[in-house]
Amino acid sequence: MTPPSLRETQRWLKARIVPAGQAEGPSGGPAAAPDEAWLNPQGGAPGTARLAVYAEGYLARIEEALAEVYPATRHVVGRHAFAALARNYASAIPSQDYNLSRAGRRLPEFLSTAPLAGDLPFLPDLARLEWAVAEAFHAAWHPPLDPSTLAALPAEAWPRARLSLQPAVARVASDWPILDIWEARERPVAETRIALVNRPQRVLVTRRGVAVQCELLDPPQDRLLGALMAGAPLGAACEALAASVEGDPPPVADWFARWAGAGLFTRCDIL
Amino acid sequence: MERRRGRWPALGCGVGLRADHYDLITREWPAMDWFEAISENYMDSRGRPFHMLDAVRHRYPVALHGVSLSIGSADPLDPRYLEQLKALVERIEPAIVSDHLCWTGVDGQQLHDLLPLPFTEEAVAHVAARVGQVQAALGRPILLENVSAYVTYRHSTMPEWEFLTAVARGAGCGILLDLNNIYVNAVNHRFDPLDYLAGISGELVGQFHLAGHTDRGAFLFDTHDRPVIEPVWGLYQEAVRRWGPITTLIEWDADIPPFEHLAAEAAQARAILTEVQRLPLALSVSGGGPG
Ligand SMILES: [Fe+2]
Repeated sequence: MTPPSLRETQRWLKARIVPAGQAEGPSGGPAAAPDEAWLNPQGGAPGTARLAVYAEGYLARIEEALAEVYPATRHVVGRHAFAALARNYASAIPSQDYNLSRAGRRLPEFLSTAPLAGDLPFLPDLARLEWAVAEAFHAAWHPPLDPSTLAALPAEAWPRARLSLQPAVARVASDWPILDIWEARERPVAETRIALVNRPQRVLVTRRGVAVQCELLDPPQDRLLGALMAGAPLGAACEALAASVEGDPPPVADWFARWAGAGLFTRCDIL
Repeated sequence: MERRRGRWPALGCGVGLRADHYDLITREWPAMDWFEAISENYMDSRGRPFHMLDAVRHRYPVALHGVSLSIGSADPLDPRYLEQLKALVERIEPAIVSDHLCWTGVDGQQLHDLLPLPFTEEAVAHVAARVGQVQAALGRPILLENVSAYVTYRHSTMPEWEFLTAVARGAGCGILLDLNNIYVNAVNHRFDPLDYLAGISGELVGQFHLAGHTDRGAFLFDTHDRPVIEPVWGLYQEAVRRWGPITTLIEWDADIPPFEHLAAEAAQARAILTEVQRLPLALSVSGGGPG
C-alpha cells in the first residue's frame, strides 16, 4: 500500500477530532481504516484513547472561547447547559477563522435555532450584544473629532455634513431588555429579577479608553445613529427622524454634543 | 565573540505576556529579560491587548510566538494571517518570530490545536517550501517549535529530531526547542531524550521553551499549567551545556500563577544559563568547538 499523502493524513485525523455532526460521511479509502492502521502501537494506551485527547481538546477550546466572549449568556443558561450548548455548536459550526477567539462568531445565529431559545427567547439578541462587545474591545479607537469642530459648524453646513463614527461603535436592538440582562451577568441568578415582557431595549456599544461601555438608546436616538452609521448626511437623517417623532422635536443638538464629547465621531465631511 | 548559534539574539530568560499580569507589569515594570507574546492575541486587536503589548515593547525585548500559522497544513497558507502577522511584526519589531512545526486545520476548517505531522520526506519538502514563503513575506527568518504529540504515524520514515533538523536546514529557519515537549514525547513514544538532543545541531537553535505537563498515567499530557519538573530541568542543563546560553522562556498557558512565581522560575533558568557560561566547556562551545 502506498503511504497516505499529507492531505489524506490530515483529513483522517480531522475526522477523528471534530464532533460527529461535521465529520465527512463515510468516504471509504484510507479514512475507513481502523486507527491502528495509521498509528504506531504505544505502551498500554491504544490509539483510539490517545486520539480522544485531541477530540476532547477541540471541544474544550471551543467551549473556553465561547465562555470568554459570552459570559452573560453562560450566566443565564448555567454552566452545564452552556457546556452542552458549546458542544452542539462545535458539532454544527465548523470553525473557519484562524483566531480561536473568533470561533464563537456564529453563536447568535446558532442560538436562534437552538431549543434553548424556546424558553429564553432573548438569548440570540443577548449573544449578539456580547459579540458586539467583543468586537468593540478589539476595535481601533481613532483620534476623535474635536467637539468644537461640530459646535463651530455654520448652520447652513449642517444638513450637508456627514459624520463618520468610530469602528468600535455598534448598535444592538432587541424586543427584550438585553442591557439589563447583560449588566446582571456577575450577580447571582437567585438575587436577580428582571421583568422581560414589553421591555424592548436598544443598546449603544462604545468604548471609554480601552474599556467597553454599553448604554441605552431611546428609539429616536437609535434611529438617528443608525442613519448616520449608514452614511446619511445630517439633514436627511434629522428629517427622517422628525417625520417619525410625534410632539416636541427631540433635543438633537444635546445628543450630538454628548456623542461628540464621548469621542464617537472621527470626522466630518461637508458634502 | 561570535556565538556558535549565530544569528539568533541572546535575550536571557523571559516569561509569557499574560492578560492576568497586564496591570502589574504596566504598574511596576518588574525586572524581566524579555516577554513572549502569543501573536494571535494581538494581531487582530487594536484595543487593550494591542496597547499593552505596545507599552511592554517600549520597555522590554519581545518575541512573537504564533499558534495558527499551520505551516504543515495541506491547505495553502492563509494570506490574511500573513498580512496581519506582518503588520504586527512591523509595529512591534520583535527580537524573535516563531510558530510550531505542526498543522492546525485542513480543508478550510480550523482545529485550533498543534497537530502532529508525519515525519516523511513529503512533509519536509512541503513545510520547507512554505517556511520560505513565510520568511519572504515577513522579510525575516522564523523559528519553528517541536510540539508534544500523543500519536505517531506508521508511515513516518524518520525520528522526530531528524524531521525537525531536515525542515530547519531545508527551509533556512531556526528551531525553537521545547525541552518539555521533548520529554513528553520521549515518555509517550518511548525514546531517550538525550538521543533527541544529540540529533539536533546547536547552531539551528534560537530559543528554548520550558514548561510543565500533566501525567495522565498511560501518557503525559502537555498542559503548561504547572512548574517545570526535575527531569526537564536536567535536559535544559544538558542542552545549555552543549550549546551555550540560548534565549529561554518559561511557558505557562493555563492556571497562570502570580507573576512572582513565573519570575522565580525564570530566575531558576537564568541561574543555569549564567552557571554554564562560567564553565570552560561553554567557552569552548561558544568558540566553535564540537558540541
Ligand atoms: Fe512550547
